[in-house]
Amino acid sequence: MTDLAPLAHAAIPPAAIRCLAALLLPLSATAYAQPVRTECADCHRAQATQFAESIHGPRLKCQECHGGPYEYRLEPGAADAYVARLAAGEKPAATFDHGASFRGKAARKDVPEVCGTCHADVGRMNAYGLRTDQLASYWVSGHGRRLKEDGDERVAVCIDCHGSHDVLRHDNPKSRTYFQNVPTTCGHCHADRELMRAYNRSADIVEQYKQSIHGRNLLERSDSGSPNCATCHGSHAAAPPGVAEVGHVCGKCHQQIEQDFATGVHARLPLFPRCVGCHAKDGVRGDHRIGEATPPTTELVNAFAEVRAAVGDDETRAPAEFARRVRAMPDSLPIERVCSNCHATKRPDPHAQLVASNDLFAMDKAKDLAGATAAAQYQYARAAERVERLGRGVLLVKNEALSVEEIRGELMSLNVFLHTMNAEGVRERLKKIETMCAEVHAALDVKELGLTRRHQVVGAAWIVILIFGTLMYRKYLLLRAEYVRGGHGSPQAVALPLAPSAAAAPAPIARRRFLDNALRGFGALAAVALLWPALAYVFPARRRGGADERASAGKQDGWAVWEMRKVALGGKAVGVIRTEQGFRAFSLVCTHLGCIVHWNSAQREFECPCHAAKFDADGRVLAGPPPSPLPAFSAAVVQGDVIVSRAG
Amino acid sequence: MASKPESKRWHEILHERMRFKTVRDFSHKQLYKRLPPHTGWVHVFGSVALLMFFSQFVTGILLLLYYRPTLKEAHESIQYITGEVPFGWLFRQIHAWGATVMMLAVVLHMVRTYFMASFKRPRELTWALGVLLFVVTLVFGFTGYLLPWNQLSYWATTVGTEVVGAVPFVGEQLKEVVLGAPAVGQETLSRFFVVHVAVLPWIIVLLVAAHLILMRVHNLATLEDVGAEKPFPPESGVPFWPVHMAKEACVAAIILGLLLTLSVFSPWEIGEPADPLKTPEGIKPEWYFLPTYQLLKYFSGPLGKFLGILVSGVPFILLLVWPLLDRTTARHPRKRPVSFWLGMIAIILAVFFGLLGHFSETTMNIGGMRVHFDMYGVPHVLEAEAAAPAGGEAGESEAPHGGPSSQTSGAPASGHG
Repeated sequence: MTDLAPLAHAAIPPAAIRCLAALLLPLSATAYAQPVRTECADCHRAQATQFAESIHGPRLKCQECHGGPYEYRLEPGAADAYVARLAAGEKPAATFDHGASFRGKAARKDVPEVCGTCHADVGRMNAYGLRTDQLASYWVSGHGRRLKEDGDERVAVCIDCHGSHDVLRHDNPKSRTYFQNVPTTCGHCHADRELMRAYNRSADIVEQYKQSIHGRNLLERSDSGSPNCATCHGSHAAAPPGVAEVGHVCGKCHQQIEQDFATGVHARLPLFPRCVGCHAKDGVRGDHRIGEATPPTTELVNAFAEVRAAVGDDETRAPAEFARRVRAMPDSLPIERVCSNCHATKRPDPHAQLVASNDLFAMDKAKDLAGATAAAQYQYARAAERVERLGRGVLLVKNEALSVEEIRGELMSLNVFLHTMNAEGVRERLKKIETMCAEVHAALDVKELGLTRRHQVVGAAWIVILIFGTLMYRKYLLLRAEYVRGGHGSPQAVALPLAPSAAAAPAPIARRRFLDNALRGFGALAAVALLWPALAYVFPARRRGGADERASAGKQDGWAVWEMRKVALGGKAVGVIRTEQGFRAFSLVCTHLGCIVHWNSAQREFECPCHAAKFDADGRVLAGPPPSPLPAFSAAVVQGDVIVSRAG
Repeated sequence: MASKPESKRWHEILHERMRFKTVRDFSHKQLYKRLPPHTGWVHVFGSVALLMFFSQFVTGILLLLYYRPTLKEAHESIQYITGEVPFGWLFRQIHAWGATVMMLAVVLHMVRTYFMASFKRPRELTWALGVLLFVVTLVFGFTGYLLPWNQLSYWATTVGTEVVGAVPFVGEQLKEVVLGAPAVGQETLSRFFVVHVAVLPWIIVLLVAAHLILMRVHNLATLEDVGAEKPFPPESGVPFWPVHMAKEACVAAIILGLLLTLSVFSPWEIGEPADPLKTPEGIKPEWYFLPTYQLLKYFSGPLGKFLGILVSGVPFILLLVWPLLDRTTARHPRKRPVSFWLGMIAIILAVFFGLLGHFSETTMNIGGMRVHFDMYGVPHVLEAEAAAPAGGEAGESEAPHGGPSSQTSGAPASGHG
């Protein structure tokens, strides 16, 4: 390249120089042996590609972890021996000397500290808004302690979960730490039978997790709120929770349950296996098949639909059949079975021996709770199924569907409340669900009855129409015979130009009179049948009463004495005055002609803008034409709010 | 009733002040007017249409008491009418079904008039007014269909108004005038509402009045040739009241029963509220638009669409000016075979395209085979598709896609069925 330099000084356009250089460069390279610049990526291509795509790619260089110079200058022969051979897919000729500062690949035991040089450095991580406690957490984790104390290098270090060159952000779906990939990542070791045998640990837990309610939600429904391994065990500080912590671990999400459980009898047993005692498969601690106690509500509704198809909506058989189906569901975890984990003969936990004397009582209670739950499920499913079924037809069941949602909420809260083991409370909640369901059924009954009535009315209407049609046709024939001469009329017919004749009534008059009266009767019937629905329709559909009967006039605080505030109650203006004694409310509609009176706080009088009428602060007429005092309303202070309602 | 002799005194008082007797005599004359002796059961369709018009008028006013034409409330108010207001469901159903029955009555009335050649001299104007009434009834149907603001009505309107956009040069502007906005929205709802309840009722009342006056002026047509009508002796004529009215009362009772039955046993659904972000499957217009809807499908491209509008507009223009085109004197269908068969072909074509439109884009089970009708109404056997893809049906169905001009694309599909 140096031999081209003089050319650059000559008055030759730069483009021409570039052309020349391109032509001459190959020649000069062979003619004059120059050292070749070489970077890590020239030899370590796979790692370089991975690294470039990783989160560290734009921010770090190889040297920051591996040491060594930032650039190597190789003699052409040496470059061939390494770079060219590697590029051709062959082994390099000899070991490459990376230089004195090169640290190479970190030993597994050193990996946490290598990562920690940056990730435990607050100064460096601050710019990225990352926490720096991962290294410290790692050293207290099961993995870290074994590494540090036992020098066991088989435990997981940073790169096992995060990758080495290919570290990706946890929100990247390709990342090993992406929420759905975590079970597989942990499974690399924890599903490895060979490896786990050395630690006397089960290699089934990942598979068990996948069958659990959490695993299915996470993997099948992609529910990112569902916990993965790290949610319960921690990530950097990964360790199995102890008996005492289980409640808190689960309570991170199941807060209400944790609270309710704390009031129950089992919370008082220090060694009670807590959540997993019931929700782990057969109550075996360490079994990761955490189950839901009740199947999803949609399945309950489907189950009821099947029961209804099979045995009908029969109060004597349906509940038992429904309960049988629900118990057969894979998600179902019947209470008695759970209780028998400790309270029956099989006692996996030696501490449960303590409560052996309670067994009979406990199992009775279990049956009680199970019965209440099953009844609540049945009630809910029956109401929900009916609303769903009728909603598919012509009836509008919007309000009932909202009530069913409410009942669903109650059912869920009953499931939560079960953890108190308070049978009394559970029965109360069941009662509430039953009442709500009964209301829904009553509303639906009315609607269904209306539909049946409609169908019946159509039948009746056709009978009337057919009778009327026959009579009318008869009348038509008579009229035609009477009025029309010739054609298809009767030959004796009399023709009258304008009006019918009273004289032309030789035929059986009594029969005709009956016909006319019958037709008149039908006419009246038709008029009523058409008018009555129209009148019912025009009559206001919104009945008085309901939410509009009470209204808040605002906070009591800051309300001066003799100040009046307005509030609309049922669409009418009501004024609320604060007196020394308390609040008073009056209708502001003048009893004369309905104008809205205003309040003169100086005179303590209501004044009507229309006819100079005046009322005093008790609503009595002081002057003007009003026939009666302003009607009073009751005003009461409820939790700082002034609530106005109709008096009495 | 007003003619009873005992009320003579107030008669005379009224007559002095407002020529009451003139009014009374006029109404008597109209009421007892003699219709031609052959007036039969086929002559009731016009009255049925009138009856349905009254029914629509009354139920429409009742629905207006609770309906609210806004995006937020339209669908909700229909739910309220149907679910909460006493007999609201009945009036809504009778109004919705009434539209269909009215359309049917209008069409049957026109068919009767055509085949009995009642439109011929001197009743050309009565016929033209009738065709305008037919169009107004169609516009009533189209605007009313949007008002419940459910998915079907929203998307049927979106698709239906696309047609207007195909008019060359001013199509887009015209469409925006119809919609009041670039897309179906509040402005469209307001416009359709106003047209449906405030504009069209006036137009239809005026047209009906003119139609009825002309009908009374010329009396009903007979089957005698134009110019050769013999006046019938008055006593052989059928008095409108009470004889013809008795006949119509029978029919009216049955029509009302039919309406009630349809309303109860086959109610119109309220449907999902309109969602401009989601087009549901199988958007179809009402049956009376199906032939036009299907015909328009065979025309693609900007020019093709315009041609489609022209082609589908032709029947209406033809109907309007038909009395000018057919100036022969014969009235009896047997004496005018050309007109008879033209009419039959028109009916058959309308029914054919209507059926194609009805079955297009659906899949049915016919004799154990699953048959899919594509958008052109061409059936494809789904099971046999893999085995014999080279079948004539599959080959032909491509033609409308590739066909550059409307004539070539329309021919194979229509010729096929």
